[in-house]
Amino acid sequence: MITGLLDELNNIEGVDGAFIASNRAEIINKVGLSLTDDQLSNLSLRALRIVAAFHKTGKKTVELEFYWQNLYIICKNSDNFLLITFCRTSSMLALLRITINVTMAKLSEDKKFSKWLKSHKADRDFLIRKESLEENEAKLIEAL
Amino acid sequence: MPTDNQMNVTESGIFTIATGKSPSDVSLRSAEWAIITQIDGSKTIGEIALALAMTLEEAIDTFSGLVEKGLITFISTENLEESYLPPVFFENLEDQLTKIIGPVAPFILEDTLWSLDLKKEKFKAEKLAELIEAISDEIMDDSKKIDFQQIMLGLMKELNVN
Repeated sequence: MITGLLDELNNIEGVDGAFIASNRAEIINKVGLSLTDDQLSNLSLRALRIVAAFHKTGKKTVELEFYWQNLYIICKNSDNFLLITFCRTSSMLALLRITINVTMAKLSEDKKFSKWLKSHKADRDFLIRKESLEENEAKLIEAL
Repeated sequence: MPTDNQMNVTESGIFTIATGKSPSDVSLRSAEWAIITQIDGSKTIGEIALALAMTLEEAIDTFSGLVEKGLITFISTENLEESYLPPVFFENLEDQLTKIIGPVAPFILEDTLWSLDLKKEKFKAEKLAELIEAISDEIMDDSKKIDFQQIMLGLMKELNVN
């Protein structure tokens, strides 16, 4: 089912791929991406750190959007996982965002997926402990 | 007298890079370079403006400059008539929205169309996702918002809009 949902995202014109990462930045599932799991995990880790940093200051992050290597990246945050989608064109972003919202809702309702996530639970705040950060990252988080 | 190239610098105009002259032969502004990188013989001026986050007026001005410099050539005009949504679609949308947010639905729909400067009578299918997203922003209940988006995605699939 999860692959089917990611396929729906991937079938949107201009989408380069999508993946789901756990709170430990592990890649749970991916479709249509040429990046390696290590690269995707690294990207997830950065996104999780941003989410955790805002969480520390009492702010909830629902979505991160950024532009990287000529790609629009939409990172949707749930309490237990991240859904990250890559798109080459801005003209499809509205359709993509709607589809992502529906996908997030379906993923959250999926019992098998929820059960799997429970067994891979992790505290995101762990990701922003000083010893796990580079100096510039620590400074940025302090500035928040 | 304006040439075909100049007359077709409109939202639906499609251009390609001219073969006689290279962009490196003339000095170009950054906006002109940005447009040159987007021209692929299939995107319309409107689509390129959207991709580069330019206003349509800015894009048309820049395209006109590139035509004058002889760097781009007109290919064709996208047939916009074919991609207008049928009026019955909006009746369906309004019905679905009414089920979700109640009798304010027609007003929300009209307000959203107005704020996006769009008209039901000449509504291009490619703008539909933008409209759905804007209407969704008016639905405060997150679960109802998702219900609405899910129903609309279904309708868009039926219409083969993507």
